Amino acid sequence: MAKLNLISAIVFLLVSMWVALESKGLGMGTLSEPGPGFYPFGISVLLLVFSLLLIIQSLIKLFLKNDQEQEEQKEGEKIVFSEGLQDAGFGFEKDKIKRVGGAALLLLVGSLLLDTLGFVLCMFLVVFVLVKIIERESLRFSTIIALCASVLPYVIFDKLVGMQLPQGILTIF
Amino acid sequence: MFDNILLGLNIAFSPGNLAFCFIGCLLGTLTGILPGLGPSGAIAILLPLTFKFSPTTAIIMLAGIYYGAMYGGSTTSILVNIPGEAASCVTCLDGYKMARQGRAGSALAIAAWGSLIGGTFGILGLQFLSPYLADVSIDFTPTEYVSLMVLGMVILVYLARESMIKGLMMAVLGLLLGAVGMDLISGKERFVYHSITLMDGIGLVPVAMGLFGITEVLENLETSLRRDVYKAKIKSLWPTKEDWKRSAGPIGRGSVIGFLLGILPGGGAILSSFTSYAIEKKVSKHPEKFGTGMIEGVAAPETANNAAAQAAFIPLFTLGLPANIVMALILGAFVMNGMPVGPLFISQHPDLFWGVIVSMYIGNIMLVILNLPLIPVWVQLLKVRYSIMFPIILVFCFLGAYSLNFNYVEVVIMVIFGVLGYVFRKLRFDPTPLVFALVLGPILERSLRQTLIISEGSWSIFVTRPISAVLLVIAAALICLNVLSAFKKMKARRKENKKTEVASPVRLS
Repeated sequence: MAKLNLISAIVFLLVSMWVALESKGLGMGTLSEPGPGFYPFGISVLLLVFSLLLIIQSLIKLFLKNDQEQEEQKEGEKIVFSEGLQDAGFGFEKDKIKRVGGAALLLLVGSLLLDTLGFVLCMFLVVFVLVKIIERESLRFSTIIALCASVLPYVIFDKLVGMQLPQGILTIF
Repeated sequence: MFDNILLGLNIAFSPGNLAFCFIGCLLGTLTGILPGLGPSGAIAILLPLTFKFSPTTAIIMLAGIYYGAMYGGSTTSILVNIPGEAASCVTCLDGYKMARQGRAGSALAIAAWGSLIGGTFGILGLQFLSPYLADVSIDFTPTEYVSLMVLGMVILVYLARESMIKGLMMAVLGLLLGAVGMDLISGKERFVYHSITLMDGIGLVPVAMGLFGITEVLENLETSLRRDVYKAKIKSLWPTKEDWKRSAGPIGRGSVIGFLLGILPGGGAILSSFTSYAIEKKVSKHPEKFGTGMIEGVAAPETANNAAAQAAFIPLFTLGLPANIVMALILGAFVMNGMPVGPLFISQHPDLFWGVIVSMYIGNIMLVILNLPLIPVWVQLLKVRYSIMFPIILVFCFLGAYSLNFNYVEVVIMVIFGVLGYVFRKLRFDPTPLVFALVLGPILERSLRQTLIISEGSWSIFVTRPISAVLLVIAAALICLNVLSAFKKMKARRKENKKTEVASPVRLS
């Protein structure tokens, strides 16, 4: 855990430094007349301080080699709710990352291609792939769900409500 | 007061508002029942839809979703042992055991009646306290607002389950995101990089939809929830005399605890349900029996989370400050509808305030009717596969984000925040302070810059004005308390480590 904390703190530190530099370029103004860069600069300094604190904390923990489970469990969390409830857990597991990473990538590509492919085709493909490959449902079930998730909302929101959803390449029909 | 209540009755009983109050309660019950989507996710998804309604109707519906989820959450906790909503986690402990012992009816009934009593207590407090608090806060200048917002964020982070530094980092990140877009005073673009979408800033809706809707979907795709639905027939849905006798105290205490914790920033329904359960266990003559099917363990948290859900509206209506993430989203709805919320809100918009208050009374009664007789229907809904549920969430997220500006970039932003939200959760960075700060960021910046202009650049104004000074001292004290407890824990751990080193023969050798 301390390792992951350290990595994330370094990322936050880099972000804060980048924001601080950008804010300076925006114009800081004076204390009695703050410029547009004043507020983000101040905030970035705070982020920098907190990131440094987390880095120090993580380094100390790494040094002391504390047991991560012990350190994470606060009293309120010790209640075990049920055998049916699964905790989301800390950190990343290979199997889960494959599934979630794939789903995330698909959603990202889907959102980027929303205008090009159009709402119907985009939602159909995204939902079909997620249901068929990630959730491992049957071909028939996946097709029905994907059709319902793409055509139904299009008919309701575009045709009936008049929301003007992107048609993309389907405009040729 | 009487005139105001009449005004509220007039507004709440208009057919449109009554219908949307019902829709809100129904959607809230559904969100409460179905695991995988909390009230914050549901409200985030429905926010764009509410822009087409009048602000009163929108708030009536959104409020209905919030307190409706508190009712619905108990049903899944009791029957399936899975909390449909985080505030109902603790109800699983005794509620499910009661169901296993054939007392599901009693548990469900006391949860519903406790919710009604706690909710009504919360609304009464909201109704009577809010106008007085608004009068007090009318003297607040931008200086007090800055200090109050700082305190609000510190309390939110302090009460969060995760590390305080991480919480503060998330809050600061939210403030930074709030600074993206055009600077309102100078008109200069900040962190826009020629993107027309970013000119208006990073919107609350795509961020909240991403962090609460898409993240939930991603998280649920990695695990499969086992659902063991209670199959036996539910007998009586009316608590027995004995049930009432045992639950009266917990319901009373739960109402007060829920109300008090609900007002606190960061408190809300989750904290109040856990606290009231812990208190019941402490005051009980048989604390060892908690977790084995004690009705007190259902009555107290279910009452408290409803009282808290209503009380959370007090800081929003009187100060314009959200007490929790759902309130932050509702504040977002106010801001996007062009309605400033603050000390003058109740006097300037009595129709909205009293309309919402009366609708809450109606909604609470609707919820008892919705929750008790319709339990068999809700149980059937629990059998819906996640493969059917998540496409529905995705469709609403995509539609909601796209409909903001009819621009696919908003959808991309939503997905990016969804993925970020997943990473944050895995790294135990609670995204709640981020959204909270994103909503408050622009208000904080404006107030801070106004204060500095008033004080001619002197920071001492924050400590020379008494209210501001007190608020900042409390914030500083909370941070110190957290640091001290961290040091104590570290010391204790070191001692323990030393002890184990001495005790372990392997290490000695």
